[in-house]
Amino acid sequence: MINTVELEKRWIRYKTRIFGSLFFILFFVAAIPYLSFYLFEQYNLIVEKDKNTSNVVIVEQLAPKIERSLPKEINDVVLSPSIPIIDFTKEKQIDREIEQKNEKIEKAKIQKLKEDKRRKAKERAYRQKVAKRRALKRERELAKKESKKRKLIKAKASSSLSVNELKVLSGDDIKKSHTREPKGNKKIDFGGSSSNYMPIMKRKFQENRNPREAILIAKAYYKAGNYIESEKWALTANNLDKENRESWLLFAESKAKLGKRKEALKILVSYHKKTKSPEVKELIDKIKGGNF
Amino acid sequence: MRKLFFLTSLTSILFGSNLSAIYKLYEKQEYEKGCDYGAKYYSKNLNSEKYMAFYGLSCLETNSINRLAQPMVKLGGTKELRETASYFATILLQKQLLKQSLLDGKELGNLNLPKTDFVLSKIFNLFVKKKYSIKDDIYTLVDSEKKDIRYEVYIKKSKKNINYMIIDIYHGDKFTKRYQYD
Amino acid sequence: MSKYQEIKNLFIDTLDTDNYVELESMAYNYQVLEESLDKPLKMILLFGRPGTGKSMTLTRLYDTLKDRRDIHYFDAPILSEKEFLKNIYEAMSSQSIPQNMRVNFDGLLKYCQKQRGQRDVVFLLDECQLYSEALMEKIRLLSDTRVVKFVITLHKTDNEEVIAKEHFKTRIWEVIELKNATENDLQVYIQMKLVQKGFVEVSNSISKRDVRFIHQYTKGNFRETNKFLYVVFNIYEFYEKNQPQKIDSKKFSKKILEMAALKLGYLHD
Repeated sequence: MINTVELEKRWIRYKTRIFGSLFFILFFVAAIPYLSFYLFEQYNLIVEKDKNTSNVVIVEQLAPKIERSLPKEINDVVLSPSIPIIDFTKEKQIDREIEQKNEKIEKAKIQKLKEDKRRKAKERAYRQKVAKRRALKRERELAKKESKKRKLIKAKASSSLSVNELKVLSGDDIKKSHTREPKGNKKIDFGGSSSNYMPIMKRKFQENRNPREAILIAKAYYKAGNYIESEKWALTANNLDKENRESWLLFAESKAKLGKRKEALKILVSYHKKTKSPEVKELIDKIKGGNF
Repeated sequence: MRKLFFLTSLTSILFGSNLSAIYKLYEKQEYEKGCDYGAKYYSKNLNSEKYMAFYGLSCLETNSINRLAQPMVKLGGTKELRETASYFATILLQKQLLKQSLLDGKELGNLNLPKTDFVLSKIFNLFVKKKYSIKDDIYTLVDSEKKDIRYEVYIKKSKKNINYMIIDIYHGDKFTKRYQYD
Repeated sequence: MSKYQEIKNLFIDTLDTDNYVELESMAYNYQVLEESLDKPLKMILLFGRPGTGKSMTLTRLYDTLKDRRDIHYFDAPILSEKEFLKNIYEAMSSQSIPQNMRVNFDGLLKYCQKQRGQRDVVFLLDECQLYSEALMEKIRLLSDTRVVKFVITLHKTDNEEVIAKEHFKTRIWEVIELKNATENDLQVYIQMKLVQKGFVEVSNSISKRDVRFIHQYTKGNFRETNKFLYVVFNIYEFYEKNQPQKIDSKKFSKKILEMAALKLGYLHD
């Protein structure tokens, strides 16, 4: 069987070679008169250099030709033209200088264009940054105002919020409350029906990308019965911190609640294999038992 | 001819080639070619007065004497070149006045323009002094210095109704050159 | 079977006389050959380069005359003398000889001489350059009986000594040289081969330039040309199946010709 693909490639190579050599030949043929003229001129210049002591070509013999037969009457105005003297090497130098100058101007133009572009891009970026900052500031101010009106939100002991965060949520005055972090399993009660909890937590998470916040959000959703969202957020937390047991548990629980018990079990079993945690086992049994 | 081919096809490769080319043509007394060359690359050499000088000097010896106007206005950088510009201007003026006199019968009075050694100027000066003879509308003038040189000046109308001023130069009885100015 | 597949098969090297294309030059040679058989000659030499149509000519000769004459065709050389003589005798006597028995050359010779004036047998021997000198001597002696006539073919090689050998020099009465086809011949050959089987359109699409291209590399050799065109139509067949837009049925593709030339090593990339 003929390998046409390979054959076509070979054909293209062959054609390229033929055209390449043809082009080269034509180029060479076309270049011959230029080359010969250049060499001819160089030869002439060398010859003239030998004749005269300098590179300057002075045409003295022509000048008298024009000047000789002038009428010499008194009070007559006489005009005669002069043949200019040409210094070939100087002329070439002048031309070269002009070319170099033009090149410099071109380069400067290009450079300026580039700098303009850069400057404009910088300005654009700066403007965008400023706009973002303003938007964020506005949001924060709004949040501050509204958080003062809210009630307490319930949170489990394992979600260890810092003291300042607690204050933010509860709206307490910072000066009044204690400065130490709560120890042990002290339960802090927050109102579960705050409508601003989610946006605040989500914003926090966006800023810090802390898995702890993601778990809190997941738990809130789970409590609210939105198992789809709780599954999503548990997974987010898990992606940020694979060692976090809570995220695994919450993820599986959400799945089970959504009716995907088999999947939930699969996940838990594989996680249990790794960690041998009793909590995980308990949850597995629970789901298997159908008490979910 | 070959040279012209070389030159016209090598414009931007060699630096200063226009100037050297036109100079070489002038040196070889190839005035027609030089005049055409000068006209062709006029706009590229506007800053080169030497180029303009050679352009004018080449066209001076041809029938395209009207082209002197182009380089003439560009010459002014040095004393010599200013004189050359005046030289060209004088010749052009003399040609115009002579033509006007032949066609319209304009009297030239006792006009005393600057003297040049160019043939047209010589004829003009003789004409002003009325040192000519007319026969069948052909003016015959004899050179003031070389008595065997004779000039015949007349108007000839072309097929396209253009009036040409013809100057025929004779050495003895031998016709040597013709200038045909429109 | 696709169109190009059929055409491709036309250019396979066979000795099938159904696909024979009659060229003027070949016709002339063939006629000379046929007429020579009627002359009182002993040996006729048909020689030429490989691929110029020697075997084809012999095949055609055999097919045409087998009913009219006592003619036998040995298309492959029988290098064993024993086998060769056996085959000669079997062909002439129409009797088959048992395996273990030999044919005695003197006996055979006498057998032939006895039939002088009564029979006129023609043997067509292909690829004679492979026969040994001794065997060629025997062939010469057999031809001297004037009962048996031999038409032998040889490859024309650069070593022309083969023809100058003794046993040929005085025996060859007719020498026919087959040459490679000229450009015109080649064009006729290709076009007729296609038209014979009804591929008129394809035949018309092949221009003189294309034939010149082919001739440049195959030098008009039929075998080489067949090989070349086989490859060309093989490529055509492939395109017809997979990329039919690349085929122009009105013009023969120079590109495909060049591709085939590349494949066969005539061109280098």
